[in-house]
Amino acid sequence: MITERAKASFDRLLVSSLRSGMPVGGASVSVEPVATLDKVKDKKIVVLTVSSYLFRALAILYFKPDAATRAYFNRNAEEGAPPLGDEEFYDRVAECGNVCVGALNRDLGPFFPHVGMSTPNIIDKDCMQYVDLLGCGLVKHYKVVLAGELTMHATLCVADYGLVDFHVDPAVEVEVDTGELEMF
Amino acid sequence: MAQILVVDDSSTVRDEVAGFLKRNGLDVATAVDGHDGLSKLRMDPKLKLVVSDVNMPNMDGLTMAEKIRGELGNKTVNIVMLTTENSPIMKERGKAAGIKGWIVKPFKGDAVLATFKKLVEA
Repeated sequence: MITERAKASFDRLLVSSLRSGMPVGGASVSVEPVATLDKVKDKKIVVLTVSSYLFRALAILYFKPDAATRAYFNRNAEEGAPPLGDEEFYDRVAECGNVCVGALNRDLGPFFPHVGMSTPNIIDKDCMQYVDLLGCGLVKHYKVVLAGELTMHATLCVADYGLVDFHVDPAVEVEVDTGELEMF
Repeated sequence: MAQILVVDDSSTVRDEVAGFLKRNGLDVATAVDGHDGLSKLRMDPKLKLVVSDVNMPNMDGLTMAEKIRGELGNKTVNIVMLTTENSPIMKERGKAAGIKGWIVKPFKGDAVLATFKKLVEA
């Protein structure tokens, strides 16, 4: 069972991770919940999991391998750089998912110390029909608009194996010094 | 001969980190996972610094660090983890394996370049 405040906390953490992890090259990002993604035309998904002995959370990022999406993930390239090939493009989307879910994993760590995350996997969107088999206690969908023009989508599914109860206080911002070297 | 080995299963990260370090005058080799990293270090034991991801297929970065110290007996190479992870449990495991530092992704080259150069020159 996932308590209502835990559901709200998962939602808050995923939205925060999408806002911090999705922008490429300083792009703007907006994230809003949507009721369903049944009509979404995206063909591919990148899937990562965050797991503890109490739950398994699947974070799913939908994308189209089209020119606009390739251009977005190539925003940091030097002027005149060639468009991304398939392998580079898929790797960039996967790494973007990795950074987003890495933030989710870090934020869940204080509540579930033994939580761990997977590496990203890119599969066809058709596989989403099997998610129902997991009997998830929480499924939330999101629309993500990047740089004001590229729309992608995301889904968070949480399958629970016991009582999942935690509370993320929206008033408390947890800052992580990303990119800084912590010496031991 | 390379000074730094960048280990990450993501070609995006390998290209970004290795490219930045090369543009700043450092010699860099790359590896795609911990297993590959261990092989590269076995072939080139004079590498000065390993910059490695944690979560990778085949062999993760912390296991690789433990094997560098144990299996290879290399007590001198500096090891820095570059990862989305920030778990105290993982950091303790890394410290026990003798790693030198920890960076939470994304990589910001300017923030670490001077220290990397010192670690390579040490």
